[in-house]
Amino acid sequence: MRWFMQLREQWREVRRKQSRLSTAFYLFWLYLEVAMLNSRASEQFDHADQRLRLNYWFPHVNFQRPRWLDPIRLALQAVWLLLFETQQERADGLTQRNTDRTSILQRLNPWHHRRLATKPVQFATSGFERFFSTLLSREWIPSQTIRILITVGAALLVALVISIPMDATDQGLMLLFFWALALWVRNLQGRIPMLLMVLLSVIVSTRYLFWRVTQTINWDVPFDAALGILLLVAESYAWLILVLGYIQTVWPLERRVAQLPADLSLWPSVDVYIPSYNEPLSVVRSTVVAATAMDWPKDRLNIYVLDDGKRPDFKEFCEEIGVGYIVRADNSHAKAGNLNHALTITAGDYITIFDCDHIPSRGFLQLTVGWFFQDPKLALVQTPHHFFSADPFERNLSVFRSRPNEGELFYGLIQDGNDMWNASFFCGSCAILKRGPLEEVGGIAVETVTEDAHTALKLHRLGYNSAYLNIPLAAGLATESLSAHIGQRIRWARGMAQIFRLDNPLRGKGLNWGQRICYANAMLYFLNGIPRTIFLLAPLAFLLLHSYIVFAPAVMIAMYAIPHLIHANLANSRAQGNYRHSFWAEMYETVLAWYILRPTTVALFAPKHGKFNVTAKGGTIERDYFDLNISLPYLILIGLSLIGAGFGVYSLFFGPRDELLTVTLNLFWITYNLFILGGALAVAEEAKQVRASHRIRVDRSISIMTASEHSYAAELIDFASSGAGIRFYDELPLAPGDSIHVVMHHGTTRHGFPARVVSMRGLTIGVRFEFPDSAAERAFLRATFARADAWVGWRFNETKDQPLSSLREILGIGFRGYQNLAVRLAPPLAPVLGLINRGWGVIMSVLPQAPGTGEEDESLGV
Amino acid sequence: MNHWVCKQASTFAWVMLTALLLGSSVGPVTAQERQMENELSAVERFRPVNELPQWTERYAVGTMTSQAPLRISGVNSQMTIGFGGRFDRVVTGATLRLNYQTSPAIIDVVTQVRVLLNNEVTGVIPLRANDAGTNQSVTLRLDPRLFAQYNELRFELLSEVNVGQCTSASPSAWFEILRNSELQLEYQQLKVADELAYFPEPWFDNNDFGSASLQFILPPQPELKETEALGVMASYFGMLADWRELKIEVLRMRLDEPEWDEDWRLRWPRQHAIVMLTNEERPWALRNYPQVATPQVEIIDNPAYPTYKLLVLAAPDAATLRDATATFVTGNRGLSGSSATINPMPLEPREPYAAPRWISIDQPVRFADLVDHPSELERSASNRSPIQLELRLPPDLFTWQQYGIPIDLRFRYTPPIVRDESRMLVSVNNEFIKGFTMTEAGMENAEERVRVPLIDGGLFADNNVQIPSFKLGAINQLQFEFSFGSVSDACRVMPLQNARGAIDGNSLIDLRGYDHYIALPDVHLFAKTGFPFSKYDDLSRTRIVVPEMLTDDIVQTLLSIVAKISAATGYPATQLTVSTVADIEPSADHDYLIVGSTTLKEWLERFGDDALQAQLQGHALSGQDNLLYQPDLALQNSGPSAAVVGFQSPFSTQHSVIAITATTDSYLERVRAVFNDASSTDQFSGFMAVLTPARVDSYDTIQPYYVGSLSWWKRFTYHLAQYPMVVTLLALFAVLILALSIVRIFQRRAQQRVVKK
Repeated sequence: MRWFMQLREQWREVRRKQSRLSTAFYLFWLYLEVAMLNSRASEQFDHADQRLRLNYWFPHVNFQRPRWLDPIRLALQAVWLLLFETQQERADGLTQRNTDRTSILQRLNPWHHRRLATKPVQFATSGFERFFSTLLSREWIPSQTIRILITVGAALLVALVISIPMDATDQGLMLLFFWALALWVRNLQGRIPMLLMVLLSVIVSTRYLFWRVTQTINWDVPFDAALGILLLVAESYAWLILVLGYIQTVWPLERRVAQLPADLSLWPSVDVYIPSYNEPLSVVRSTVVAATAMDWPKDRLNIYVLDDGKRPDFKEFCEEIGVGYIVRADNSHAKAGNLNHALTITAGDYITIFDCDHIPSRGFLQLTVGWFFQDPKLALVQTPHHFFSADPFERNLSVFRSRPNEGELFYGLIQDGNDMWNASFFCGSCAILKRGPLEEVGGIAVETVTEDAHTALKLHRLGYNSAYLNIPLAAGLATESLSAHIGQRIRWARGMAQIFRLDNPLRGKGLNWGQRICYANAMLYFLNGIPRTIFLLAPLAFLLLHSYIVFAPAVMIAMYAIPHLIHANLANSRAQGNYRHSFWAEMYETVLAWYILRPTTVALFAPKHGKFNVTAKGGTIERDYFDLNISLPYLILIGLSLIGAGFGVYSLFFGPRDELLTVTLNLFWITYNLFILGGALAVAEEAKQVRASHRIRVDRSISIMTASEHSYAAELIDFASSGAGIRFYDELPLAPGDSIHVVMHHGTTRHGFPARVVSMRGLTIGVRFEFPDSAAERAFLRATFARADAWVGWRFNETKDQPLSSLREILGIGFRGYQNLAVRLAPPLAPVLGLINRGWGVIMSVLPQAPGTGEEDESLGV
Repeated sequence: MNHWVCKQASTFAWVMLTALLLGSSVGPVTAQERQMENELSAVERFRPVNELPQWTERYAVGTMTSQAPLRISGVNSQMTIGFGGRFDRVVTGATLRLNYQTSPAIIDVVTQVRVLLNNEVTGVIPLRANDAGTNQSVTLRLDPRLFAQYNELRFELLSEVNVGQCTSASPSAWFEILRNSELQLEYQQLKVADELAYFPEPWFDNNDFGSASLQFILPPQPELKETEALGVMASYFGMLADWRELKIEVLRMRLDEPEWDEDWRLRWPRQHAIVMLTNEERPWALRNYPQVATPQVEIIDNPAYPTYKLLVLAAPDAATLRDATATFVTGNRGLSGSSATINPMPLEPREPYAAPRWISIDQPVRFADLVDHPSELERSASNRSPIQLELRLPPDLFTWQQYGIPIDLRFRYTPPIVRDESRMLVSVNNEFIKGFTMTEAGMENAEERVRVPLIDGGLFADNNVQIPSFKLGAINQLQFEFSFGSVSDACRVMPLQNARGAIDGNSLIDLRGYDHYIALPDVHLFAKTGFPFSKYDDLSRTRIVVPEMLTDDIVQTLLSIVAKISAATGYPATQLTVSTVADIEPSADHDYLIVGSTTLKEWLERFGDDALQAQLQGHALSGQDNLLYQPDLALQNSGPSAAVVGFQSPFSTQHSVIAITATTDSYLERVRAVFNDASSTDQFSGFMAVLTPARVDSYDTIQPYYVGSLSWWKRFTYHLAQYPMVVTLLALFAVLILALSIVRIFQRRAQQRVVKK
């Protein structure tokens, strides 16, 4: 009887929210689950063990709201669960290899048995890990000379392996072994496995290039040879960038904060420069105020706004909050000139430079200056540029804060890797420089449009050191439109090419080889316009012109090129996966390729040509639009590629049989190109962006005080420099227009900021702050933007790169690009595409999903 | 010994002679045999010997052409069979007996086969549909006056079949000649003038497509120098014979007067023969030949059978004779008259790989240089057999990691009126390489670069092919086939009559830039190309080793092999050196060719058998011990067998020894037969080929040695690449070490960076 009573109680409880049919269905599944998974029904209501719930195993099936395709979903998922190891299981397998706590489903899973069978492999793996860690801990060969000899010997051996020609079978065999090793060590922790992967990649890619150079140019046909050499040059460039990139990123220094002396009197005086030219005061204001809020002895902190725009409201504002205001007679040399001018006026020991939109956190100086006490030759400490608004890629592809953004790789890894070689360079903002060395090199460099990197290069040439502190200590706005983004990159590309010509890091004195490589790579990277374009056009050479630009049997090409691509991808995914997901670089570079092609080429030949252009920031985009101007070159490339693909498909069916494999290879290549180009289109589809000041999503407890001086607990969901979004737990008697105080806890102090309610939607309100004075504004900034830990944990270092899903993502983006284009060109197509999308969605929803990834079902409202 | 045999068994001599004569005649068929038997009856010796013989020969049509089947049809309506005629005989009567079958699809009245000899109609065969499906036979008499030195027998089918309401040429109207059809020719031997201007006729006739045969008359105990002279002469004829079967016979003449008076005549060859004389040693029949002070060559009547000619090379002594022969074979052009004196000229040794029949690796070779006559590069609608180019490559070309031999191919053709099935197909050794469509766009001179592919490089390619890794062997056929489409209108399909296609003689094949490097021993290469001896085509770096006692078998084998090598190179072995084991001074510059089982035994006793043992290891060869080491013991117990075996020279790692041995010397005949038969030498491979009466067994080379020159780096990588697993493991090991070193270096550096001061 007891269980009947329990059943009735459950029925009633569920019935409160659902129809009879749903309730019956739900309870049926519930008891089936109990019977099948041997769990007790009462536990269901306690969320006891997730794994004992059907929802866990069938995340995409809502058992309360059955849908038509659910039987298919259930069947597919069941088969999948039985046959394949899930990611979770894999992770479990790695962390707790010896526990026997497995569920029924897991035990049914053949992978479970397979794992038992792979015990020896695991044993070897763990042995390998231990072996690596012990290898490094002790001196295994005492003599330095012998060590050097062995290393040289190994290097010679590697050179031999790179150059030895083999037939396709042997080549395939060798590369299978390499691949197996790379896959095996992929998940092992530590530097050695990573270095192994990188070395394998270098070997395989060099071998590929060696083979290309020595065997695959068809000198018989001059036309083919010419095109072939062109492609080969592009490939050599890609190889160079790959290898230099490895050197640059394989060992990020991961420098920590150095302590300042306890004696405050030893702390140096710092000048903060905030150069501005045409940015609105609303953008600059927060920066200046936040700068004044930095924790540093007040008598040794001088803040200057360097206004090249010579605007009276700026002057007024500076006087109002008591910071220096510097203008100059002319605007020669743009930002660099502006800074140099200020340098002659101020006298601080150190110069800190913030772009006018980079809001520094209060701890900036305390955290960075310490290193100058550690190293007297240190001339520069650079910190990452951090952006709290979405860059055009993030916004237009709606991946803000879910994928590492474009700058992440540079600021998260490359600069840190450069630091290892004492080659991290000045990036124009968020950095602190020592006055002495800066004056020694004649101030900020004015010869090129990337004055920052050039200045750092000059410092390094004089033997000064630089440091990179990989902690975001200031945050700013990303460029808001693709055209602006491209404009900025064009400037960087031109500037880097200029430095490469005028002050080539590979030549000249004062640099060690690590610095030369790092600088060279930073500059060569921007020359990718031509190679990238060549790669996009190369398959057309065969498909349209029938020119064998890689003169080798298709099997050999596959045997050499595919491992080269796979290893490069694996090693890059391991080395940079946390900072840039696989294949995203392709899209970033493709979008820029065409635009940096001309300026870099011009700069290489005429380095003095060209002028500084200011990156526009803080603007808005009123509506969605498609930037046709930007995408025109890509549309042309797409057109050509489509024609090539058409010819390829034609010759697949009607062409000569012996070319089948070659055609297939080229078709794969061109399809990939088409998807990447589609991605470029998708980025050019500008999403609307109307807020003048960007809102930063947070989740913080605050309280508010109404005009009637009642205090309520609330949640701050987002904030900007002038407003905030707040959610209440219960409905409050507020109306738009009401004045309230937003009370924020900051350390031990609390601050109340007067604000006015401007909007209301349910439990959520929007407020606009009305700061009575700059002190209040400063306090607000201290509590929000300038908190020392404001940007900590913002980065997504935890999202692990999965090359295959990354590829899928990129393909999806490419597809989206074409969809958008189709809708633009022929709006009537929209419903058709919508249908396709929905169909696709349905298909995807039917496919198996990883257990435990489903939404928590809230239908019970527990 | 020979003398003794003759004396004891005169009947044996009869049989021998019969066999010799039969063996020497061209295209032996039974009728001739009967006739010869009659001629050799006891009465024969009293008949006047200068009578010009007449005889009949029968040729099976199937053996006269490589074409198969012998079929013509409505769309491919002509077939030509070519055959040569010798300079020293004339055809007095000819009968063609055709056995054939026809298609049931033909229309009676209209359909007929015309038979043409040298473009004149000599017969017509009307065809009846009713006769279809049964063997038909017809005998045609051919006018003997139409025969020339080169003859073409042509069959033309005029046919139509019913297609709906039309009649049309069609492949279904066919006419097929059965292979047993016979061409019967009656010959009359002619007496040839004593004229050196015709040389090498009548000893060798280029128009004779049958086998060539040579008779040498030897002194009873030839000196080594005389053997060399014979070898040089044999190699000259070998060079001329080229692909033809060349039978070499030697006959020992006694120097003294025979006991019964006709005997000497019976033992003379009853055909054109060659004799080499010194002033001391003369066969009895030539005892009166004048002594010579300077070497001379003369054509005289065969003293026994004046119908035939005897080439006499006379010199004061053996050494002069040898040099004179070498001079004669290199410079016999422009001679005339019945005799000429020879000034022995010292000949410089030739460069390696200079063999005229091998494709030059110093410069691109024009196709025109690969054929005898430019017309061979041209084809028409009526002659669609593929254009064949013979490519003989230096056998030791190192083709590893090469993608193919480039050919700049130019060809012309009559453009088809509409785009149709007209194509030009390129094949190598019957393996299809590439096809070109003949377009109507007026492409009269297409230029394409083709590459003759090499065998390796395929992912799943069978990897047991050692070098040379060509789809090519050392001898290859490059084939170009023009296939012309047929014009058709509503009702008629007509074979094109005016279509022409030609490969431009200026097309180039380019073999520059290849190294020479090859794994030996390889008896296949030896059998096919004479390698390694043929590397120097005058055999200047070859020592032929013979036993003290030169039996007929040894000499014949030696001459056959030398002739075969010269056939492969196209140059006579003017620097030939023959010696005995005892005389050998070990030389690191020479390859050794050992002839005879006792020679091999002596060689192994003197120089050791390590190199041979190295090859034999790993093979279960218990049965062949006798063959290779103890030839005497094998005589009684086992049946005969012979072997061609190669191993490394004991004097130099770069040189080889090839031994031709047999359980008994008489069984060396089997070796000669095999070397004359291309399909048998095809089965040669590895380091040894053992010839038993039943078949050819080859033994793979397990321990090869490599000869040739390769940069040390190429050599190193080539040999290393044979072991991909080793390379892989080495690479992984090296990577591990490098990774550890780099980690150490980087770790220290990173520490320096952050713990400053």
